[in-house]
Amino acid sequence: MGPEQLGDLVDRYAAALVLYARQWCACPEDVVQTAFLKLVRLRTPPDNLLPWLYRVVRNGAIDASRAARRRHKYESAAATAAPRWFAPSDDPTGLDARSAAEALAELPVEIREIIVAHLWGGLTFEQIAQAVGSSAATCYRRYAAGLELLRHHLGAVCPTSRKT
Amino acid sequence: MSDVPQDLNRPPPAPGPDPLAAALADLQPAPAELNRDRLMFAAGAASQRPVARLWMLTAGFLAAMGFAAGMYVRPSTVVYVERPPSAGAPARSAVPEVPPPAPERVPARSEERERSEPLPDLRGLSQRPPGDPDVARWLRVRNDVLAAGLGLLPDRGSRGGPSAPYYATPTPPKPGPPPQPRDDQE
Repeated sequence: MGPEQLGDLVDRYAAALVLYARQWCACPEDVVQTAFLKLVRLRTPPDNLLPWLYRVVRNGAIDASRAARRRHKYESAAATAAPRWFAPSDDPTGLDARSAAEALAELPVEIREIIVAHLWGGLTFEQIAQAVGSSAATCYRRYAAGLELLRHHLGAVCPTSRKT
Repeated sequence: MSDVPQDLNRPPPAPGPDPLAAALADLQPAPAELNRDRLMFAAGAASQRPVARLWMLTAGFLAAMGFAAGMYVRPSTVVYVERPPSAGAPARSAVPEVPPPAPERVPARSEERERSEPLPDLRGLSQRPPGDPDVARWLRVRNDVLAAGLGLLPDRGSRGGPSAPYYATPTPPKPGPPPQPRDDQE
C-alpha cells in the first residue's frame, strides 16, 4: 500500500473510525493509528477493506478498554465522558451535538456501534455484520431499535406516527 | 408503513429516509486528533521489509569462514598432568645426584660399630694448626662423605681390636732396641 493510498484512507475514514473506537475506549486515536499500521504491514490488502478496518478498530478498542479497566478504573469513566463526539453543528435547526452525543452514550454498546458504523462510517449492514461478526438482519434490527431509543431520548417525533 | 421488514432473517433492504437518521448523519464526527505526519512516518517504518544487503551477506560469509578455519586448524591441546608428590621423595636441587655406593661397602650399623670401636678423639683437631696434614685429610674425607655418602669410607684393616683412625697418617714404626741374641741359639 502506497503512501498516497494510505493518506487518502486516513483523510476519509479516520474521523469516523475514531468516533467508532470512542464507544469503548478513551484512547481512540491510538487504536485507529494501530489499525492503520496493521493495514500497512499486510502484504496483500484485505478484500473488504472498510469492514476489515472497522473490525480491527473494534477489537483494538475493546482490548484497550479492558487493559485500561485493569489499570485504572477511572479511565473507563473518562471514556464515557469523552470531550466531544461531534463537531458543533452549523445548522441551528439541526440536532444539538451535545444532546445527540449524550443520547448515543445511553444506548447499549452493541446497538450504538451499529448506529455509529452505519450513520457516520457509511458501512452497509452487510459490512457491519462482517465487522462485528454477526448477521446483517441482526444488525438491522439493532439499528432500528437504536433509532427508536434515540428518538425517545431526544424527544423527536416518530416519522411513522406522524404519517398515521 | 414501517421500515422494518417482515422477515428479519433475510438481508434487510436499504432503510428509508428517516428524519432522525438524516439529522444524526448531518452531525460531523469531531476531527480526529491523529498526528498525520507521525502516522505516515510510522507507516513508512512499519512497511520496511527485512532486506539482506550485500555487506550483511559478506560479513556473515566471512564470519562463517573464519569460524570454520579456526575449527579446522585448531592446535592440539596440551594436557598438564599434576603428579602428586611422593612422601619420601627428596626435594629437587641443582646438584646432580650421585649413584648410591655398592651395598657391600656400606658399613655395619653405627650402634654396633660404636660398641665395638671407640670413636677417634676429634676434639684435639680444632686446636691443631690449619696446615696440619691430619686436619687437611680429615676435612677432605668429611667433604667426600658429605658429598657421596658413607660408602667412601675405607674398610677397617683388622677385625676386632681397635685400629688407628682412617684419617690419621700412618706413622712409621718406632725404632726399638736392637734385638738381643738369645741364649738358646748358642
